[in-house]
Amino acid sequence: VSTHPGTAAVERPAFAAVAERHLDTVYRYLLMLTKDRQLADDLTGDTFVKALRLWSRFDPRRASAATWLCQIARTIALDHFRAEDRRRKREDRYARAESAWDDRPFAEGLSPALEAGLRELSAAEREVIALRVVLELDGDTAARFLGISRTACSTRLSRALHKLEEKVRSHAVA
Amino acid sequence: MPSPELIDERFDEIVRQLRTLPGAPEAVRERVRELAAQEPEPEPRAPARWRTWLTFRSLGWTVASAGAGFVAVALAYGVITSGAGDDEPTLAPRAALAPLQATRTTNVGAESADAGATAAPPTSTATPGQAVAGRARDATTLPPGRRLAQHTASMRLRVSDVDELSRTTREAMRIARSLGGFVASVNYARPKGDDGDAFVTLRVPTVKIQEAIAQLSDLGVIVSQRIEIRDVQNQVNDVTAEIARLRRTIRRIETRLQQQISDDERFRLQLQLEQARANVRSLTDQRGRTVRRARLAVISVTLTTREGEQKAAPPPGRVERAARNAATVLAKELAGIVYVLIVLSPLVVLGAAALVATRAHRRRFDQRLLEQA
Repeated sequence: VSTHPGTAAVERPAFAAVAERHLDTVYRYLLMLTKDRQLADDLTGDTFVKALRLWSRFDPRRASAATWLCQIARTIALDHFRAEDRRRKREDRYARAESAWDDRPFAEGLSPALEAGLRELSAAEREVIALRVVLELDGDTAARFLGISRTACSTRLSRALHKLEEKVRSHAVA
Repeated sequence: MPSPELIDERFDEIVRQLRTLPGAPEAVRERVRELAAQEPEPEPRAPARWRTWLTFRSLGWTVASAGAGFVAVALAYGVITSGAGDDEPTLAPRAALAPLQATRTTNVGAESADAGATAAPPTSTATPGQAVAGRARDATTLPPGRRLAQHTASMRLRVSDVDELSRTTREAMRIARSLGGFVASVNYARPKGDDGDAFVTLRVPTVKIQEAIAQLSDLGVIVSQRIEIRDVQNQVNDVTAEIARLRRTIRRIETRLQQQISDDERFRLQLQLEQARANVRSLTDQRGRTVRRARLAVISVTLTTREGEQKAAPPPGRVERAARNAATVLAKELAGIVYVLIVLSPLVVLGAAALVATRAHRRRFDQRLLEQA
């Protein structure tokens, strides 16, 4: 535990302890965002590498460690999506790659219907579900995280859940 | 905690399953542990100083301090420039003149008004040599009457009716003549109606100006009065010194011309001699005009019957002058601030708009990526 120099004493946990405590949180968030276990593995590693580099800037008064780590994870994921977008435009092979990922299981412990439903959601919809349902962030924190208003965040979550429920129901019937 | 109103019971099964999502695989966990163990943990860094300072509270304090500073500067300026020791609000014309005669260059902004200027102010009719209180006493450090000064006075007097206007106009002319002066111009105007005006310009000997103003003040109610004295002694001294120098030059040239010299040099010296003599004549005339002007004061008297004319307000006291000066400075400071804001605001607005647009564009792009992924 350390404190910020020149500021009021604010307890700062050690990076190792933070990483240990929030690793699963970051991983689940990235898994939901990417719907790809392998990719989530890689991006989780990248996230903590970057987090360690930026650790000196972490200010516990401004955000919790989990939120801070997930912000870094989001930036890493967006960088990945941008790179993928460029690659897809350049090589036009994104569809094949995506269909290859679809064949792999999304996550253990989910029913096939839920997994199929999640696959049909967009990353934005999966992200808000990840933040509010999986990570159990409150509405204000999630809204700040996404850079939108609380109302917009609630609306996005509501629509995503309804859409997921419909997908799950249709897959269950099938 | 998730909002209960949004995650209702029908989503329970979905929520339950999602919360059983597996954690990071052991391989990832090991990698992160190694990373945390191997890499030296950087020291926590203090938040950027500007981030600490740039708070609403500090901004408020800064604005308040700047405002207090501006007001303090304005008040200090007002107090310093308000003058001291001349709180007498109404210097009577006669009293005012005495010290002013000795002032080198003084613009007495007039505004002398006595409730009944017709009832002449009492008696601080100090002669030029006498000292009067306050600033006037300082002004007498110059020996009055020995320095040349051009005196200009203007008075505006209200009289009761056109008959009185006619009488007082004649009386003003008589006063000038009785004091050894003359009437430079007179313009008596009585358009249709009961009102009329007379504009009289008098020239009176400077030594009699005090007496002249005192007598003229008795002709009606003083509406306004302005007296200006401009010291011309230095100007006359300079001209006199220049004349003396030229005369010495002339004597030297004349001496040289009596000697045995070449024709060329004689011709050149004669030209210089003529030029110097012409300059002496010109400067002598100029000095004579200046001295004559200094010996005769100019008094412009406006007589009117118009009821709308108000008595001149008494000159402000020191506190009022300080407040007025402070208000003037404060107004200039505010004008400066407004000017700076006007100049800078378009740049600030453009910068802020560019920043907001860039962030919005980035956010939209990210959102689109997430919608497609």
